[in-house]
Amino acid sequence: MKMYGLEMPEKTFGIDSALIGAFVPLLGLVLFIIISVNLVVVPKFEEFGELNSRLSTMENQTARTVEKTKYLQSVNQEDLQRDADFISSALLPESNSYFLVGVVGKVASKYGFQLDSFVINPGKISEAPKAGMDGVVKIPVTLSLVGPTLRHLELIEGMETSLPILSIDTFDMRSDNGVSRLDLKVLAFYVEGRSKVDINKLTLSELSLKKEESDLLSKIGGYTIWDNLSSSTMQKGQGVEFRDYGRLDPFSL
Amino acid sequence: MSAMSLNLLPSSAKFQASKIRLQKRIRMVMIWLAGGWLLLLIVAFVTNWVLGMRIQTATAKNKSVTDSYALMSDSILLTQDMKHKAKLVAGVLGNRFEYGQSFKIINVLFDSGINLDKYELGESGVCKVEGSLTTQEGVDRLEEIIEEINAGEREGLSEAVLVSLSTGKSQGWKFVMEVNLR
Repeated sequence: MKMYGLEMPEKTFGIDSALIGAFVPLLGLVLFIIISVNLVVVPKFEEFGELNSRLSTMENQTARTVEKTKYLQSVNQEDLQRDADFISSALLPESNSYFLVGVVGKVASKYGFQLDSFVINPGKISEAPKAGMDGVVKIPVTLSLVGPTLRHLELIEGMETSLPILSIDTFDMRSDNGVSRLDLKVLAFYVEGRSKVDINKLTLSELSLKKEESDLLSKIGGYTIWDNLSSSTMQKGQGVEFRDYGRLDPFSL
Repeated sequence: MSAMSLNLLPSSAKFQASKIRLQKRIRMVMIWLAGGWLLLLIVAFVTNWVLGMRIQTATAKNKSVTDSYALMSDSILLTQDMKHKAKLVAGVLGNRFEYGQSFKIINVLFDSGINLDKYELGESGVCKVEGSLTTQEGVDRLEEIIEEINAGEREGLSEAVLVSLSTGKSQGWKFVMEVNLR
C-alpha cells in the first residue's frame, strides 16, 4: 500500500500500516506545537516576565521621582539657600591662612585683645596640607594675643562660637597684673571641591534634612559669622588687570 | 458498543468504519490542539502588545517626571552640598576640645584668695595650672580643693595633683598643679 508517497507494507510491527498512517498528521501537529511552543511561545512568556519587572521598576522609579519632586517643590528655596550659606560660612571659603588670622583678630578685638604676633606655615610642597578622607583640609595658624585677664574666658568662648569654625589645638596663657598673654594654635577648616552626586540615585531621605543636620543648624545658629572681612588677600584675583613690567628674559639675552 | 448489540458488517467494512471513526477523532483532537496553539499564540501577541503599550506609556511618564526633577538639579546639588558640609562640620565640632567649658570649670575652682597666673592645656586633657597665694589659709584651701577633686566632688574634673609649692621671705606662695579634665 502507498502512504504519503511511500510504499508501506500492510503491517508494521504487527500493527496495520493504515492505522499508523492515521496518527501521522496528529504526531506531526504535536511535534510542530512542541517545537513552536519551545521556540516562540516559551521565550515570549519569559520576555513578559522581564517586561513586567521592567515596567514595575519604571513605575516605582516614577513614583519615587514624583515624591522627590513634590518634596523639593515644598522646600522654601530662600530658606534652603540661607541654610546652605550658613553651613558654608562654618568652613573657610578658601585655603587661606591670612583669612584665618583676620577672623581670629576680629574675635580678639571684640573682647579687648590684640593680635601681638602670628606665624603661618604655608609649608613646603612635600608637606602641603592634604585633605583627609572626607576632603577637609586643616589650616593652622599660631598666634599670640594680649588682653585683659578678666575677659580671656569670653575670648575663648567667642572663638568657639565663631563661624568659620575655629578649633584651638594648643593653648598657653600667662597672666601678670591683669594682663594675659595667650599663645594659641588655631585650626580652621576648608573643604576641597564639591561632593559629586548622581541626583537620580538619591533617595527621598537623602534629599531631606536629617535630625542631626537640623540640630547642627540650630546649634551653629547662635554662632557669630565673621564673613565681612575685606582683606586684600580676599580680593586678590578679582578685577585685577594684567600689568606688563617690561622685564627682559635673561635667557634670551 | 454493548455486548448484546449485533454488527453484521463484514470485517473489512468494520475495519474501515473504525478507521474512519478514528480519523474523525484524530481530526477533532488536531482541531483542538491547533485551536489551543492558536489561542496561545494570540494570547502571547496580545499580551506582548499590551505590555509594549504600557511600557511606552510608563517610559513617557517617567521621562516627563525625570525631566521636571532634573530641572531642580540646582536645588538638589545645593542640598547635597549643604548636607556634605554639615556632616564635616558636625565631625569637626564632635572632635573639637571645648576649651571654654574646661576653663569655666577651672575658673570657678579657686576662691578669691587664690590667683591663677598660667594655664596650659595638654592634648591628653591634663591642665597645668600655675597660681599664687598670699596666706597660709589659702594653702589649706588649695589642699582641700585637691582633695575634693580626687574625691570626685568637683564636676568635670577627675584628678588633681599638687606638682610644686614654693614660698620665699618677701613673697607669697606659688603653686603648680595638674588637673585632669574628665
